Amino acid sequence: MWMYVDDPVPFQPAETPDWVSDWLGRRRTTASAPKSAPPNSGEDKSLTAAMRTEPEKPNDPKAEARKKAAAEKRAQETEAALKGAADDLEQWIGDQLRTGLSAFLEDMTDRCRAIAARLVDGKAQALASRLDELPALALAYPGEERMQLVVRELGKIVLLLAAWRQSPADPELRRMIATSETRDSLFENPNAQKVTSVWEVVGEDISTRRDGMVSQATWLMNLQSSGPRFAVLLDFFPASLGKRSSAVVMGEQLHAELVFYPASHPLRAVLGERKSAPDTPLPWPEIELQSDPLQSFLEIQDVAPWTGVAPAVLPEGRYCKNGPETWWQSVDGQIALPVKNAPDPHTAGFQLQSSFGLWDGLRLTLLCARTNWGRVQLNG
Amino acid sequence: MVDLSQFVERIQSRWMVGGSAQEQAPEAWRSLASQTDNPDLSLLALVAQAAQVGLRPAPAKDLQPYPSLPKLDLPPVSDAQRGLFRRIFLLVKPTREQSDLLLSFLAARGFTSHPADFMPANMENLPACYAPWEQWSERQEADLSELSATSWDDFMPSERVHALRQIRLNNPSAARDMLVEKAAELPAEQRLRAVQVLEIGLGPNDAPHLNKLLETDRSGKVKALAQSYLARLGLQQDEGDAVSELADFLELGKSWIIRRKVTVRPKKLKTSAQHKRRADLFEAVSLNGLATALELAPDIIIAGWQFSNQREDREFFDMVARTGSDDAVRSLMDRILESGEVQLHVIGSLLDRLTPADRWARLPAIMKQDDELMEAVLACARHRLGDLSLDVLSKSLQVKSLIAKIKEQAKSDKAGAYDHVLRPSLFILGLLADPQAATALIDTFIEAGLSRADAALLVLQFNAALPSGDIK
Repeated sequence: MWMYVDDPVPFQPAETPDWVSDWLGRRRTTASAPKSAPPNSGEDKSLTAAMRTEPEKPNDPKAEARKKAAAEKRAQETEAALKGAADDLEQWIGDQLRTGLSAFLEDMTDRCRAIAARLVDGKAQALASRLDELPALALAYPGEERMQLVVRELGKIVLLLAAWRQSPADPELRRMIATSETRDSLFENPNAQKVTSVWEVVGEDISTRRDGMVSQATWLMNLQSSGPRFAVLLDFFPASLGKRSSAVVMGEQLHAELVFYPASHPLRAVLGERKSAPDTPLPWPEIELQSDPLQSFLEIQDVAPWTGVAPAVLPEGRYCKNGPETWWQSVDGQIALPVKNAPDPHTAGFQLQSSFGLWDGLRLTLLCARTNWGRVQLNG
Repeated sequence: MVDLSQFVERIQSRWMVGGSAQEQAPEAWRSLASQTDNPDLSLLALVAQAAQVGLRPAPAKDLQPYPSLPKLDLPPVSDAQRGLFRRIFLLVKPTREQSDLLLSFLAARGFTSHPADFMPANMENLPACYAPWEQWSERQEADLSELSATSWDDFMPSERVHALRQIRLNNPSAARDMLVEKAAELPAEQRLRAVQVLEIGLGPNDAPHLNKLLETDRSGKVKALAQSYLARLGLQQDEGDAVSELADFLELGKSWIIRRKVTVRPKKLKTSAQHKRRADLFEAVSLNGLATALELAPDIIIAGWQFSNQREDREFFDMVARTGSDDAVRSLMDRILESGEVQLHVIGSLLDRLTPADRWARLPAIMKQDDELMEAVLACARHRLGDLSLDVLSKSLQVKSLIAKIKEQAKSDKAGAYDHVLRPSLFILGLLADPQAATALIDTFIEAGLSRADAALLVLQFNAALPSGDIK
């Protein structure tokens, strides 16, 4: 501008260069910029014209083929990225064993974060989250059990990777490695199991993950005989949104259809159509004192050994002391399981007529119970 | 023979330091793992799965079941009202004193807190129905009716006081005998609380024990308590020159209206040292001793006391509350309420001396005067929470004042400008009203401008929703 003031001769009116038009065309239109008038089509607006059906464009076989080829290429790239990530992860796990898990335990947060970042690059988001959460999971256990948990978790990941290599198209395995199906595609999936029953909301597990997302797992128990015995509704939302109100209330019994994600042992589901709630609350299924409360856990391990936790309904029992630890023990004293979430002192004095919890192979997280003081939530 | 847990432990130990653990694995696992591309990872998967399904944790020693939380005499709040009860703790966040009052209100309606909703940390000031919960985990439940010199040590301190109070109401000498035999073994604070039981039905038969406490007890507080009880019985000790010195700080006169009526008023003092000295003397001297020094009967001093300012009135009231007879306390209380000149927050000590029935009888008069935080009202209604009718409440100064403040707040731009007054006052009001009054007051306050969802209304809403239990 100063040059123009000094000597305006070089600045003569001329045609707008192409690069200027191009640049202006790429600029974002701002609210303050004057909008140009729409080009006059030469026709008046007409309702008849608007309602006139547009002639269908003829299919362009070349375009379709291009699209299909692009999709196939993307799928191949994804497969290649996932395989690369899986190779890297196996190599990384081997390295941890070779260099010693004691060193890993001291530095697991940084190490897990680094491999999780690599897995995200390799499009294995689900595996990345699992690795990213491993340190927090391990640190929730006392020293000796921390090592057992790490071995168990890494071993399960190895199993998962091996299974996925055998059948990479399996939706359950793909869900645990990469991403889940969308809700809409689940409803459209003819293989998705749909179960209408009376469900009781028996527990909720809310945790903030390292990636800033809040994971909300709502556990439901089937109070009627048919279909899967348990279901879990999983929801993820950014922690910055604060606490979300849930579609269901703790302790509520709802008559609803659940659509289960296809799996060898269906557990994860989404809430479908809700029907009117039962007039009178249904009781929990009878549990025999002699039955093994971890039987359902073992059954899940048989068909899906990569599963970390499984729900369990426990027969009548009591909280017990074992030094600084709290255990659950059946009233006949035959079964005893260590409890992860230590109860309040007064809750420890409740008589647990039947309880619902999650067993992770090492400890039991009790979520709710029917007690001599009525139904109580046991996890916060 | 090496079992599964030992194999798993050996392999994990190897991985702890680093390196291949094939050597530590059983032969079958080793051959299985060697058939794969990465034997160490295969072994890891085998160990993880074997530990998961083949091993179960076992307790190191015998498990000790936690003792059962004892059931209380009153039932817990029903499921229908538990949500509201929990919301009070979630949104109002009551102080410990407010929590204690809320539980007393519940007990008055015949209910107790459900332990999953609220478990009081300290049972000291709670109704007797909560006594079984006190340190329940440390001991077996005891029957409060069984307190005796032999079972004395089986009881927790607050249970003991509750039981002693019950015994004292029915059999004063039995309670005193138990105190004579056992109280000396208690620490000073517990001894003080135990001796306070003698206040119930205090009579001349208690004098020998009180004299003994005055002479021999190691605690200054217990001695002072014994002295004040003796003074209430008209058996004060020699108070020396203090009474005549206090008498010099007061001036006698004649009433302008009734010439024969004697008036007693504090002299105007010049220095703060004089004020302090008079305050100390009021704390040391008894009403009967002062009456002797002034050559007047105690009831003449009560009737002739001229209300002047809060400080001097409070000193005199405290002396009467500490050493006056029950009749003297009642007379002074009635004079205060008749006069309407006294700020009610200085009469706390006198209210403490009245029986619950006496306090309840004076409640309507107090409600017409106390427009502040209703502390005096609460003190009067403490034994009959949740029982005040709409008729009494609607005429009270407090409710009128609250409605005015709500209206003012609704008009002003500043939301919650009076929250600091409204919230505690509405909390207390929620504990005082009967269910019908609570329902009507909620409507009144909403009409005045309070939102139905305002947490300040929660206690009133809880009150309105809570039915009367079987026991009152």
